[in-house]
Amino acid sequence: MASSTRTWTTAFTRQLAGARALRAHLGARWSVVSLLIPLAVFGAIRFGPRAGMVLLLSVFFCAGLGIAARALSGQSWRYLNAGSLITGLLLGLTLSADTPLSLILLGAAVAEVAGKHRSQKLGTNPFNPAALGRAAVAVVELSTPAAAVDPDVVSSASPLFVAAGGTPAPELLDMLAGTTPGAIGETSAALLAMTGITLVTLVAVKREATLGMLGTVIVLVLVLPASSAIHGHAPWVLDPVVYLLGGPIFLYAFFFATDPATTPNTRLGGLIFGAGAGALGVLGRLYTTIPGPEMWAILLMNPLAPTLDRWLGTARSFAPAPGAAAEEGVRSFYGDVPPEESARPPGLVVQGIDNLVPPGEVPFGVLGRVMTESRQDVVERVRESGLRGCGGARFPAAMKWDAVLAQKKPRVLVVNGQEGEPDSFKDRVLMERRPELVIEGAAIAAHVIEANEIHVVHHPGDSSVRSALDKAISGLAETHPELAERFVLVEGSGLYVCGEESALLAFLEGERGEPRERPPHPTESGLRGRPTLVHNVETLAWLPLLLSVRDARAPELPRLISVSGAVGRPGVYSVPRDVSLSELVETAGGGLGDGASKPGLLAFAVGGPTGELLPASGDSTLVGELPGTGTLRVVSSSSCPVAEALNAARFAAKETCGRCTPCRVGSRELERMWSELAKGHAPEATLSAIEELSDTMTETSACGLGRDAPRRALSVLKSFPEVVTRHLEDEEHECDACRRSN
Amino acid sequence: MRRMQKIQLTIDGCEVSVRRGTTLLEAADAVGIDVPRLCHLPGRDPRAVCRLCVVAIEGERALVSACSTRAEQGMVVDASGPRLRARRRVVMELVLAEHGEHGGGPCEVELLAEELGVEQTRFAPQPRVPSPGGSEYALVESEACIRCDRCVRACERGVITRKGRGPGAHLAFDEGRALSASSCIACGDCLVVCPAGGLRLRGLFPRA
Repeated sequence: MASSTRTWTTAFTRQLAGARALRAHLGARWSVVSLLIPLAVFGAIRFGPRAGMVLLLSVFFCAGLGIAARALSGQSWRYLNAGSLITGLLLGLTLSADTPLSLILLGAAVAEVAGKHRSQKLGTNPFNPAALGRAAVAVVELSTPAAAVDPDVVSSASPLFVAAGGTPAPELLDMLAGTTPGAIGETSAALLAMTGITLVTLVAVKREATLGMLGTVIVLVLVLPASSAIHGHAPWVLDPVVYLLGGPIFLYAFFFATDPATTPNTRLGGLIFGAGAGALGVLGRLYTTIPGPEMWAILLMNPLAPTLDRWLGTARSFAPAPGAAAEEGVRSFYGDVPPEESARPPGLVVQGIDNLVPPGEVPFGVLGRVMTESRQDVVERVRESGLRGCGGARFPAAMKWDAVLAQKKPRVLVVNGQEGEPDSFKDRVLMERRPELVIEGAAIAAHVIEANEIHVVHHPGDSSVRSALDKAISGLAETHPELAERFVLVEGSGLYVCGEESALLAFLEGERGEPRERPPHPTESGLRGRPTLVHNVETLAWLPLLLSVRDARAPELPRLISVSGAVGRPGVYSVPRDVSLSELVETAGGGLGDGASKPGLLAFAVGGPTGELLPASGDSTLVGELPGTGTLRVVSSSSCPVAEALNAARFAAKETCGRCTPCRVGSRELERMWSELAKGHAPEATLSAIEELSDTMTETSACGLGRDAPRRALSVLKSFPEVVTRHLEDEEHECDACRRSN
Repeated sequence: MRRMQKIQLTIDGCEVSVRRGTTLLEAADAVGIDVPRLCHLPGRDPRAVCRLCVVAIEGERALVSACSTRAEQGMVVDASGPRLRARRRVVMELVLAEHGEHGGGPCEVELLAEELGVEQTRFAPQPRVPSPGGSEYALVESEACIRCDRCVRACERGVITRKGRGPGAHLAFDEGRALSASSCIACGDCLVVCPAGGLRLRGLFPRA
């Protein structure tokens, strides 16, 4: 006995879980559709194929008009709108089986067009659309002589209405089973109660109006006197059981009074709404001859919903919270310095950058010659030169050009000069010292891909870069005004993640600077959906030199290296590729200046914030092998590899956009674990956790930022294992660098 | 009109034939291969942020999210190998680090964690931006939110948006109001799609 009860309970729980899963899969409104379908099927069986036709046409018209309205207001109409299906089904269920085609079309048109906002956006309509459509049909029906109605049809007025000649009081079983006359969907009280109760227990959120309506009906029908004033409606409406089961009240109370868009937004408001609708319906039944008073009652109460909301203090119109517009401000990687003052570290050495200028050329001379060549020839020359992107990914430039050229015009060129990456400043130096090369390179690329917009994005607040670029564009305007006018200078966000192409484009469109899912790649659908070529400043700056002579080879060019850290002369160095890092450090005044206290070199941090940390001793890396944007930060032995790893992890945790889980949570957790390690608090298991988490971030993150974020820390684990081990659970471990970083 | 072309691919050694434009997740579902997912919302654009549906495509280095990657002719996909299962378990641990306590019984997140064999997380509970509050109809428990963006996509009125950067990413109603003071009309779409129990329907007669 007990076990059978348990079986039943378990079965019920499982059914309920299944229903919840189905509900989550369908969403709230498709769940309502699924609850209306049994009613429609019953109606079609009960009243025959003609009723089925009425329902199908009603749904068909509403869905069609809904799709048309969405398409006309410029929205995606790919997904069939569940709202239109609900409206169509509800309208059909409230009609009688003999409704002519023209009236169904009228009802659907009123419901979908007049009853909803042009955009079909949920909650922008004052009246319940289906009730409004049904009302339009009722008005036409009432003004048409009764003789026009076909006497043979089965479905007609509900048992609450006195038919000519008088009908007997309905039997309880008939009302439950739905064999009484009435509109297509209102006759079976049992089916309505089952679907309605499922609706209010599992799907609908606003259930108070239903309670208010049903409760008021019961009370009023019992309380109001049977008077001679009752005319038109049958005398047995004063029996609450007959009133509830024999009429359309269940259909309206369950499926119309739970409509979120046209009912009040508070529970008390919902109760009042339902009570009002119930009372108006009962009064209509008792003292008027109007058919379908519940429908009119809902329509009368609908416009009161906003008033009830105002009384009960709920805002209905959209109003952003105060201060919401001032979202994440501009961030500078120099820390908390206001952007205006953060232009660049002072006293930069710039060496060899003039080697970029094609010898013996006038400004924009190369551009002039390129414009006489065919576009395809220029692309081929760029391909043969082997030029790769200098923004970090080192993707072949010509392949990007091909991809953009394969798409339709209009096309866009974006010059990425944001340089949100710590340790890198070559782009800014280029834009400030050699802006004409950047502009000329951009003009060449824009000419070849026929871009009619060129956006040059620079670091925020960098006024000297901006004025230098402005001057160069004015220079271009003298010889090529048609190209110069396509340039727009844009202040970037300064966020590291906006160095990623798709995030930069999102930022330029005024959205959150976050990477977008690829495909489509920006070359197919970039800025505002246009094919977009995004190039780093340096990539473009090399173009004039590469195209000034025949058969120039990019791999033979020097590289621009941003050298910083423990060197006497930090700056941008133009360095041949076969020079070793040690030689470069020597040139830049390796180690910090003066003799006696000169600390030794510990490591080279290359590849921006996400590159490896190479041990300085015995390093034989060549400049040509530097990854990413070509940065070299020299780490002195007064620092510690663990502190370096911690700083890199901290940078990732600060710069993650927070979109995907591995990067958002993972980078924070990496920071926490490295911090524990730096404090000497970490148990041995932390190392394996770090490795496992790093690998997971590398493999599962949504964009390059998350995939690269753990790399520096991993290189520390690999290259400095004994230092890391010393930090493991060693309370006595004295590490100044780690203490400073923590 | 684009022609309806069929594409052949292999998932876990199983030959699958699907229409062009089908995602790998839909293709896997079609042949009954179970790929775990949390942020996926059928019928809406993929966000690909939970990263639980990552699969390996032969010849490609990085894993891809099955929900946002379209099937291509001749693809060979590993959807449930041991390496994937290991990665997914770590991602699930990260999800659980964000997913705090909530009422209303076990949620989809917890059921999936159980299915993946993740009993607890090695990671620390994540800090979160407290929510300014729910409404009479909806309970908002921001401790439980896993930032899957399902509710953001389900909300047709655009009441729910995601704000904040990095670990500070959080849900906002009308850019930062309490739900009761927002333009929410309580249609319930967000409540039925939340996998984390962070947005729940209040009972009809809630205890004070």
